[in-house]
Amino acid sequence: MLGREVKVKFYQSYSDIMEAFLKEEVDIVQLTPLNYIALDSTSASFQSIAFIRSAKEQQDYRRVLVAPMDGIQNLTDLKRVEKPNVLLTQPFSTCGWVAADRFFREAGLTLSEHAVHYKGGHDSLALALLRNEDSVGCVADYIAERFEGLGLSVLKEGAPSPMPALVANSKEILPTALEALEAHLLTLPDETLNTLGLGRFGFVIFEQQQMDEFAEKVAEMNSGNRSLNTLTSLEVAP
Amino acid sequence: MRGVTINSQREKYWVVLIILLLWLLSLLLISMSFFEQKERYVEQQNITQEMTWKAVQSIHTKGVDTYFYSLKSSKEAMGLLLLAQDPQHIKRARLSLYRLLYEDYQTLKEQGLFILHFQTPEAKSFLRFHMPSKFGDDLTGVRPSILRVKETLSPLHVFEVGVLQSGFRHVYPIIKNDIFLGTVEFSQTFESLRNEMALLDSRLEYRLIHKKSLPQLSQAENVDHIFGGSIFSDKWLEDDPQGQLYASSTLMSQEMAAVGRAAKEDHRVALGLASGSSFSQAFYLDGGYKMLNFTAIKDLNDENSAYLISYLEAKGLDQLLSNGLIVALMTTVVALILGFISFSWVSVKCAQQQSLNFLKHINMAMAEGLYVVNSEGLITEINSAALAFLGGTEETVIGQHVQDLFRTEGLAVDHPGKCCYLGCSNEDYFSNELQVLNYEKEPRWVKMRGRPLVEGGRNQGNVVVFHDITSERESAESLRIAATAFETQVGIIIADPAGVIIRVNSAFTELTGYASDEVIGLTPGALLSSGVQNKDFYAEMWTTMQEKQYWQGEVWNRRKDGALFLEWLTIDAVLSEAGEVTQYVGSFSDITEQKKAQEEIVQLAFYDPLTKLPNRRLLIERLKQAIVTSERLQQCGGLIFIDLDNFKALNDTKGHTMGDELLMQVAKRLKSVVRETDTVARLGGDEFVVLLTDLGLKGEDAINTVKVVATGILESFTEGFELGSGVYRSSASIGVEMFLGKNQSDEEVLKRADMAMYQAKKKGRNKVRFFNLEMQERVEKAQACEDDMEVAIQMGFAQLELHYQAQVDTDSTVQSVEALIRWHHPQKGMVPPSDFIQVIENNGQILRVGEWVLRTACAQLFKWQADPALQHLTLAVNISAKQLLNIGFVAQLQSIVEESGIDPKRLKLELTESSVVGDIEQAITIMNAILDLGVELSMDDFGTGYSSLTYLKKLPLAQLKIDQSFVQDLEHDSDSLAIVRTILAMAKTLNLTVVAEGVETLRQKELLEKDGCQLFQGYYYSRPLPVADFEQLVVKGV
Repeated sequence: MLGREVKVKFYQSYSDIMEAFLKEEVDIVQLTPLNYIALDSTSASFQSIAFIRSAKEQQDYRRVLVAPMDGIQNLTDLKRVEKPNVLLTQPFSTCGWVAADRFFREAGLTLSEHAVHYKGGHDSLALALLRNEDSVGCVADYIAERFEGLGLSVLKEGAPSPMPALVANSKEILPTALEALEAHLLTLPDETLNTLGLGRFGFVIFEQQQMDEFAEKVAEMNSGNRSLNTLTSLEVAP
Repeated sequence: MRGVTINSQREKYWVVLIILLLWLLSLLLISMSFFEQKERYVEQQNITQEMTWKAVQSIHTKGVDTYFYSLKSSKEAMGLLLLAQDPQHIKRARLSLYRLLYEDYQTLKEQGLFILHFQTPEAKSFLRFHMPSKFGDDLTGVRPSILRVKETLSPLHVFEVGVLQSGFRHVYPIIKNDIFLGTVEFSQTFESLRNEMALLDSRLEYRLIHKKSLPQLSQAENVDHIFGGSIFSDKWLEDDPQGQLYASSTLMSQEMAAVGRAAKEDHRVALGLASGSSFSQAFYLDGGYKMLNFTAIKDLNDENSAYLISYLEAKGLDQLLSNGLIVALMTTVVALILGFISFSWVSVKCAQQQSLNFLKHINMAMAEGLYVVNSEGLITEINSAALAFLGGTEETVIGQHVQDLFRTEGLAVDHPGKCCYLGCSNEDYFSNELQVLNYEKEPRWVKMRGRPLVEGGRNQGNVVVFHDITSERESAESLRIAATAFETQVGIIIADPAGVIIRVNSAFTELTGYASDEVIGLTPGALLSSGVQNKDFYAEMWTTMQEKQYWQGEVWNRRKDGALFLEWLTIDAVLSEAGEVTQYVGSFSDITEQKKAQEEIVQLAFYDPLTKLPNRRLLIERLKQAIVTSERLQQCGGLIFIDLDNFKALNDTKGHTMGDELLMQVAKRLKSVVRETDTVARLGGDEFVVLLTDLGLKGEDAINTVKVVATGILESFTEGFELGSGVYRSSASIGVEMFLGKNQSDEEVLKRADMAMYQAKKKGRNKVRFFNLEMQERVEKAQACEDDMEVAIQMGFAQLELHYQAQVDTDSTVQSVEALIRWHHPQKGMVPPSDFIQVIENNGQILRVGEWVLRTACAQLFKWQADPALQHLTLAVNISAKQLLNIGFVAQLQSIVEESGIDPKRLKLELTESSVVGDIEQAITIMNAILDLGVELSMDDFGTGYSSLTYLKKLPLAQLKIDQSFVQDLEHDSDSLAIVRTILAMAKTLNLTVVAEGVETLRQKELLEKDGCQLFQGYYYSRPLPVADFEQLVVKGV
């Protein structure tokens, strides 16, 4: 379809993915909405192909603040915790700083006053919380739901956010080929989707408006705090 | 010559083939050795991997056992598991157990036990440490090992394919206080196993493939991203081909992937995979051996469910291959060296054999005979040519002594011992030409050349070559003759078919003045043409050459100095076998002088050198031709025979020069009076003949014509001939014979003309007489006389008899006697001497008759010598001119005198003047010889001829006899008396006795006696008498 052989590459973090994409080392990448906003602010030539579902029948996802079932039961308890550290996935993750900061501000807390540890992924963040490594963490709602049986509890649920997007380098791939790929991905049957790794839960039509609205919210959150640019330049803890 | 025939090419190919086969066999053995070692290597690798696989399993099993029993002894853990049996506390029990064993799990992971999985007694997942969020799922359908442990309550260690994780499973039942709390599974991922194995041998790269047909895989959902199609086979799945599941998973190397693709195409791999047994397979890729070891992994049911595949670069095989190649290379090099050496050796041997064969063929093909003898002279080798010469075969000849083969019996040769056949001499090299016998006993010349065969300083024999040079010698002789012939005095030109000169001999140069290099390349015509012969001559010459390939004739050519010369040229064409002219050979000789000589010879042969008139021979030829023409044309002809009168007197008186001058003038005069077509010839002496032809048919007209000519000749003689300073008058006697056709022969015609001339002369000279019958009769009579006399001679002279006529002195006493022949003809009676003496004088019979007379007379004289009454008599015998001049007469006379025993002084020979005047010097010689015998000579009929005092003085005479014609006329003719007196005076002067014959009267006797004559003979005294009567006359007296 693309007229070329496709190789899959795995990167440790979204920042590595962004860097590889900007260096045109990869042509198609999965980006979180926050990554997408950052990419959109650059001069890179790209085109969004589709949203990628992370769970079955997913239409959007929410960021939730979670804690072990035998841990704090609400945000206010954080003040009582000796070390009320916060676990986040990645700086560029939508469930990262921005989402946690929103939850903390809603609780009258200031995230920056707490130690933040990045766990790289939602699963590792959830398990770390379950192991009492930190007090709270911010993950996607479907992750919280997945670890609920193991004792993970949702303290606070956030507003909906766009799903991760599949983005392509429009300089390297012809628009016609990208359009064909988009149409193909959006119409994949379930049996085909089951054979996939990324995207095995299906694809959704990309809507720039969702990204724009998300960007506005992020801008609002960052207006009195840290800029997006600053976020995007943060180092990702291993 | 013996020898082994070898197809050298085939032998070389055999050697090459053998070397090639040996080489191939070596390569095969090397290859077999290599493959055998390779198989061992591969098998070893397979065993090693299997052992490694089992060792790793065993090590981990012990480790897991240890941990499990440690876990089982943990009261807290057991308590949580017991708590988990309560559904209300299961969530808390799970979280607590997770927190309790998390650190242990981290340790287990470090040991490769990635999976720590607790199951409920219902075989549902309770807690997966490797995936804590996933639990509660029923495992009965996908995890038979758990069910087995649940059923058996015994630990189970087995490799099992899992949907998420495949690996070696260690499943333990958890029983606490006899309560079955569930099971726990420790699973060592393949990755960890791989790492373990890698520790044992880091060269290997491991992959795991699963049987695609396994139920847990075929029924599982959403595992396609975990199990990819195997690169080794379509019927097998590969575990996490893209390394998605574990961070530590390694992707398949490009090298192994390449070998995997090759293995997929290899049916042996497919068969091996289908067999369910462990196996190894080597592949040669990218310049080296790569190996795949397939270790069969059995599942719970002891069925093959997976394969552990290891890949390694089989350096050992590469080394084996390298070693094999080195050995093969060395073998090849050795084979090449051996092949080269063998091929070279065989080539050399073949070349030597070929050379020997070639030499053998040469020997067999060579025309020269060749043989080899050993030091004992025995034949050891011989070729065909030698056998062809000597006969026999190789088998019969070899071993024979060479001297027994070269035979010389019957040949006038003396070869220097056997050495010549042995081909040796005192020197090293022997060469000689010998004459020997070939096998057909034919004497042949051979040329032998020999050399000793020396080996190690010892003479081992000799090799001898010979060939038959008989033909060469003959050819050489022929060539020598041909060369000599070519360089003969005859000029020779050899020209090509175009007539261009290609060779000349030295005689050519001598004859023409042109050197060889001046004429080669030119044509004879351009070189020598004289212009004497016209074009037609040469055209005819070449026409003849083309028709007959031969031409011969006279050609006038021109020498280099411009001189003309006449050559007798013979041109022969040399033809090839195809009949084409290849050369022309012209031989010529300068016949200019010869031509002149021939002309002179012709002139001498057919013409009188004095008068230049045709001689007798030419006359006869022309006369014969005239007779033939006369016969054909019926034309009369006439022959005029001319004899000069008194020519002898002219010669005698004026000398031969004058006589010759006269003859020349007569010749001119005769030619002036006849036609151009008539022939004037000189027969000899003073005899001329004129031949007249084409005189018409009528005899009378012809006779008249001839008579006119003959008369004209006589008339021409009336004019004197100027001889010297004076004029000589001469006349001629002419006889004529006419002829018509072949009635008469040429001899007859000439004879008749001669006879007619004789008649003319007899009738007084200066006359013309035609031949008539009387003349013919006389001739015939003479012939009859000749015939009869011949009969008489053949009959022993019986018809002849001697009569004796006395010669008396003045006293009439018989002093001497003359023997006179008488012929008693059987039919004619007594024939007088005048009738036959002239005849036998002319035909030569006088020689035999004269001898008889002389013998008879001498015999009679001998008788008389014994008779006192008669012993005083001197006997006179007549000797004719032919008799006297006949060679051997003196010897004959001497013989007769001696045989008869007479006193030669009593014998007197009477000669005629004509017998001595022809060649007086010769006559004197003979006469002196006769005198030397003691016999006296008398001149008979003196006075009738050309007697003169001049030659009379020269003649050794003792007596003169006055011719009877003078005696008979004494009484009446004063001239005769004067002549007699002159004769008597001369005789007296010369001291000769004189006998007067024909005395018939006393008066005659008295006249003669008066003038001094002492002896008389004639009828006055006695006629010739038979011997008895004569003897009585002598006794009684005259």
